[in-house]
Amino acid sequence: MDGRVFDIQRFSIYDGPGIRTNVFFKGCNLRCLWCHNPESQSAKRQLLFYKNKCVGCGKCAEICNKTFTAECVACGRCAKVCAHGARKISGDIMSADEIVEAVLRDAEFYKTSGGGVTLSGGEPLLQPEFAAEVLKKCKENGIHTAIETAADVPWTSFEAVLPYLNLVLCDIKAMDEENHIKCTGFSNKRILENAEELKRSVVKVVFRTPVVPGYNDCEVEKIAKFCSPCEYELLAYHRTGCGKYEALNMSYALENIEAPNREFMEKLAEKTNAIYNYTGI
Amino acid sequence: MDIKMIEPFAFGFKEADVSDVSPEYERNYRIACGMKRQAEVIELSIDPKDWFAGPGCTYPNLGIHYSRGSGMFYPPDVRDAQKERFPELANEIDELYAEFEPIRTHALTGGSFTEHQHQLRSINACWGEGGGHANPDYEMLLRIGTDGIREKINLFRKIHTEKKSFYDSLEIALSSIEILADRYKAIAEKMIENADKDDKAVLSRIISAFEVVPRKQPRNFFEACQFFWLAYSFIENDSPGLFDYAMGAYYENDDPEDRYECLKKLWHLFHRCRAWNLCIGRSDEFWNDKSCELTFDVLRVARELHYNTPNITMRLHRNSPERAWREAAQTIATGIGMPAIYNDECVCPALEALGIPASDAHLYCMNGCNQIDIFGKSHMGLEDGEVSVIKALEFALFDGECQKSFKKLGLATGNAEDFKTFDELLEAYKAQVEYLADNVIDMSNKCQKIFAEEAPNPWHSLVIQGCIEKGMDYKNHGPYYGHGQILTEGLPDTADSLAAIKHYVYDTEKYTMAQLLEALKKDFDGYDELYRDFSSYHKFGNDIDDVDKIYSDITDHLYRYVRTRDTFRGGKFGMGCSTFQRAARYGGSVGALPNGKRRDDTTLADSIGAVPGCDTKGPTALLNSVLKANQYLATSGNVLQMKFSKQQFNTERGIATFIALAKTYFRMGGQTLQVNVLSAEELKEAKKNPELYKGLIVRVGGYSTYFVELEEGLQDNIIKRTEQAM
Repeated sequence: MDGRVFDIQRFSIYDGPGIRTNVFFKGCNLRCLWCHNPESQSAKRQLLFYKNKCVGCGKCAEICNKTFTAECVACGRCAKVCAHGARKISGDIMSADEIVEAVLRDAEFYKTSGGGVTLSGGEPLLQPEFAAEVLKKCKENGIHTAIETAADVPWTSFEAVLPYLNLVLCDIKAMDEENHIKCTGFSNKRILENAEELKRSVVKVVFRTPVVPGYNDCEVEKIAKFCSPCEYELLAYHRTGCGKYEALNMSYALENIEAPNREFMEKLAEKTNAIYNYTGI
Repeated sequence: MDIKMIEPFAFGFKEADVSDVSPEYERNYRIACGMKRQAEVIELSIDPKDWFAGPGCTYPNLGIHYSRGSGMFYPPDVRDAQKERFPELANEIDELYAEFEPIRTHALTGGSFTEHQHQLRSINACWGEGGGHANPDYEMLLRIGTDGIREKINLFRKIHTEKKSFYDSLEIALSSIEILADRYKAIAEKMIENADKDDKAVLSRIISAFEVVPRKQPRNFFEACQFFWLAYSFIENDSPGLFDYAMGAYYENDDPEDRYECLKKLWHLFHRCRAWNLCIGRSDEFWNDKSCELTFDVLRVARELHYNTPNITMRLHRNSPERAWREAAQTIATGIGMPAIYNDECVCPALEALGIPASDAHLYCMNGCNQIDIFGKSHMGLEDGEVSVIKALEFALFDGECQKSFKKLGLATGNAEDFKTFDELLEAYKAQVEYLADNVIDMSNKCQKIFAEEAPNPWHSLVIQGCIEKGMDYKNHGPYYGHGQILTEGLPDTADSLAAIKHYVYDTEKYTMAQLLEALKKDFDGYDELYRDFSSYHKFGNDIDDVDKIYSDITDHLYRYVRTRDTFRGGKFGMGCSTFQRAARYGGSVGALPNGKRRDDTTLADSIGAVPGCDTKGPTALLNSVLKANQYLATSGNVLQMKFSKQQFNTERGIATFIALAKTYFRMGGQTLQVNVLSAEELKEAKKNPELYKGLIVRVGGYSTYFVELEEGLQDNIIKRTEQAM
């Protein structure tokens, strides 16, 4: 079976235990204002254009007259001829076997570190059968499996993957429905229902909140209470994805928000009895 | 002033009474007499702030003398300085130097090479040498003292009666260190009369130490340090070797505060005289862990003092305690680029395959930078030479013609356009590599022979096992193990180049060999598309099988080829890969390469790691690539350098992850990992404002050095090295 992914990141160490390979699924049904992977939102193949790397050599225009127009279908011919890395294609179709082959390359590192594979995104559960197949094949090879989800999917999608999972990392971005709509564009009703289900499942669940000052930092205590008795982890909002908005010709809503500092995060984590791993960003 | 006072070695050598000496050992005897005269005459002083007395870094002030690395050695800058100081002696000094010039070891070795070999050397295709580092057995020396060594000499004297003169010269060398100790004791006794309270305390400790050492075993760690420092700097400082093995027993039962102070003082001295390689932690032949308190205090002192020398090597293995990994990582995290960690599980079997018994293989330590020695038992830990495989590739592509000098110095392997298959090209490349390796081996063995005949070393013959036992000099088959070590660099660059040629010229036939050769000659000028294709093809270091397979093939070929060849010293040659600071020199000595290196670009892969900027898939991918070549074939350092950002290394998870990464690498057969912790921003800043970054240390090949003191090209190279994201 084939699916659409936009990146496979080896040596990831902050999404689950140990050294991990993160597989980023393309396509998401939320529109979080702070999203740091804007290329994950659309389920289609996309062209990213990095203006600062472009030297204006014109090679891309020579090969295709649709570049920079609405008719661009992200075929990728221009990215191939760009010698300066200004053009990148995001969103390859890959088979489950191809992904598993890439994941298994680091199997020895998982063994030593207690790591494995994490399906992330985008929203991996928008491709539930594909995700299930990848996870099943990883499990068959003895790999620790995790999924990172925003949980705004039918419960049946969870049912498809849960048998092959060791760990679910589930985002709860806000408790207040209105605030959730403001931050993500959608209600959190289905998310909270799924979260209640997850609490009852046999698979280990860690709830997580990306803390964005001025948006959801005031809700952290409420979320922590809701998540109990499961583990709860805080992630600090960071701005590493800004450049990609420009490359996708999208606007970034949080232009003026500063990333919370380490002390702020550590205090908040202590107050809510949450886990917080300083990532050095 | 008497010239005999400023050139003691030369006159000890000249005036030696050799009437009873058998001609075979005349040179040994004369050199020993030179060492003795040097010990009697050389200007000595004690600085109580140092705590320990010893000649330290005196060798820069010696004129004609015996150097462990260069044999009979005459530094012209010292000669000129002496002439300036004593203008009335200028003529005598010149005459003396002229008299000794015909037996200067380097003049003799240089003169033994063919004109062709000199030319190969001048285009940086290869070189071969003798001399080098040594690892005296300080464990034995401290345990039995000079009294014990004398007993040993007398025992074997009776067995090898025909070697009387050899043993006589050893006894003279042995008495030299005793003379030196006695002179220091006398100085301390004189100084103590007028010393203040603090100095008095130190001087009385020195005096009481010299009542015991060097003749007998030290009674505490202070005396052990005093003995070590005296012996270590007696002829010329080198590598302290397996330090915790030699000194651990004296450390174990001493007062914790005093012993640590002693260690710190000794560390200052090591740093001041640029000690080479100090090795800690080890396993025995049954894989028992032998780390001790001193092992961890060496790391502590390194973290505290933040010096760039000595180079610390830490040996790790299956039974290393978690504490060893953790403290190694924490020390690396301070940014000093040390310790370099070595894997006993890879090195010991590689040494055993050379025929070294397990009990001795587990006594290995590093010497100099990345050369492997058997502590106190071998003459191995030196660089015997170097082969440039990128030059071999250039020779194969251009029928033996160097593309910088345009001289035809390589083997004539035929016009590359006539190679019908990739295998034919590969065969031509391998023939060129073997040709260069043969030249290295020939040059090295010529040098080794000259060193044995012209520059024997009576001091090392005393302190390296096998020499007294066999009645043979250190340079002439004395030590138990005499294997050789040849280095290479450019394997990753060559692999990238060959992979691109295979794909575009032979597999897809997008370009012809003629087009490629023309493009290389023109430095890709006017060949934009070809350049783009070749420079962006699969690169080693990203866990991509086709290029990694070629890398593994060419590594195997060179390493196995060299292993079949004998050294003059009575062992086999072995290979390792570490570029040190020489990468830019070799990178700049070849023309444009099929991996996209341009003619004036000096970039070259750092040792066995990827070409700078070419590994983009993270550290696990790089390690997987590197592990595809069999590292058990390497009997010299097969260095993998990794650079991590300091910011990320400072998190608990970052350290734990690094340990897991290193453990995996070692479990899968990796030999050594050498890590820099810094940020690229930090480096760019340092380049801009060197005065603000004087203490910034980076690891360059085998050793750590101050970043701001490096030349610009090397600085850029280090900045460019892919920063591994954690």
